Amino acid sequence: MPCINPDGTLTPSAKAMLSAVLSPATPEEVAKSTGLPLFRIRSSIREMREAGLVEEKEGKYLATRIGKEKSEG
Amino acid sequence: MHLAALSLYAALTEIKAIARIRSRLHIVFYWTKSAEEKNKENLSEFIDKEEMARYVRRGWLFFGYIIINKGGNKMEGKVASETREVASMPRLGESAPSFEAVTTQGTVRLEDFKGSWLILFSHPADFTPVCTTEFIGFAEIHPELTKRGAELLGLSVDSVSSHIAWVRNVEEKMGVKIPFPVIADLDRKVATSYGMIHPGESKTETARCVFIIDPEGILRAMIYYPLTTGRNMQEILRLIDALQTTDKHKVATPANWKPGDAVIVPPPNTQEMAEQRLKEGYECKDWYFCKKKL
Repeated sequence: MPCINPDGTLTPSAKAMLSAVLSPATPEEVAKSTGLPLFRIRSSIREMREAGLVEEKEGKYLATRIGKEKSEG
Repeated sequence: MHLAALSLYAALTEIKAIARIRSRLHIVFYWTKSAEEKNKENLSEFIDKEEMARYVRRGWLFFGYIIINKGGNKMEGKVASETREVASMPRLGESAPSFEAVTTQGTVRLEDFKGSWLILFSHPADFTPVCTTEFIGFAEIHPELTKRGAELLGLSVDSVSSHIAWVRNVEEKMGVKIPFPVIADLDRKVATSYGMIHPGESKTETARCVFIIDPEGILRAMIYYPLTTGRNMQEILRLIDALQTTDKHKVATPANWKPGDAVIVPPPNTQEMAEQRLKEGYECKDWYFCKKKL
């Protein structure tokens, strides 16, 4: 998984994305704040959701408790 | 599905019927015309080879052949004496085939690019000279494409490890960083759905194809180059500019058009509009051939 290294730590881009969803944000807002292309945000958020790092509420995304811990680690 | 189709056609005799089952799967039924033909064991003998070839050229997938006797009430059929896969080709103006694919930047889906223009392109193989020049070319126009709201997505049937090794090699040896993802289409699913493999050129590699997909996911342009000829990056930029100009201003663009040149005003649809057209202040050669500056 491109967001998560084999040792379980997050890649730099994943950390940047998680930092951008510490408060609810749309993929477009995350793309703007991280400077990453929108397709990468959508792709990465999908994978982070599957990993339980991010949750979705009404079209906006928010880091979960695990996501917050990982982004700080 | 097959039984339903057979039942439908069982009542018919001495005819040849063609049933379209799905958009990319077709069945051709052949009925015998004489009693002696039904005794032949090799069903393929009943097939008109030339006619079959015509259907194959038109993209039909031959699934099987059915025979019923002259009375029309006894099914003699055997199915699937021959199966051929025919390359499907996407068509302009239709939704681009969807996909989910592993790339050098993670797993992406076509819908991830919604809202952006997407330039999906294939190359024959990693670590080959023409492809390397093309990747450098695509990397060079990447900033210009970004300004136009367009993303690049490469593809070949190599593995993601091969792609990673190659783009690292290009950066190390040529000093060019490849900023876009590259699909590792090992199972050729994307290549097949987009008609990227042209067996006459190569049975194992993708040709040099370019698909321009608009922000709504509609396929707007296609370019196919042979293995031996590297693509012209300026033409790809020009094509994006032309398509975006068409969308924004509802105009067409003439041969060799480039941004800043006059554009073609769509021809009038009625006689009244034709008469009016010459009075509208455009640069006209005749009522159907008018240009204007944007």
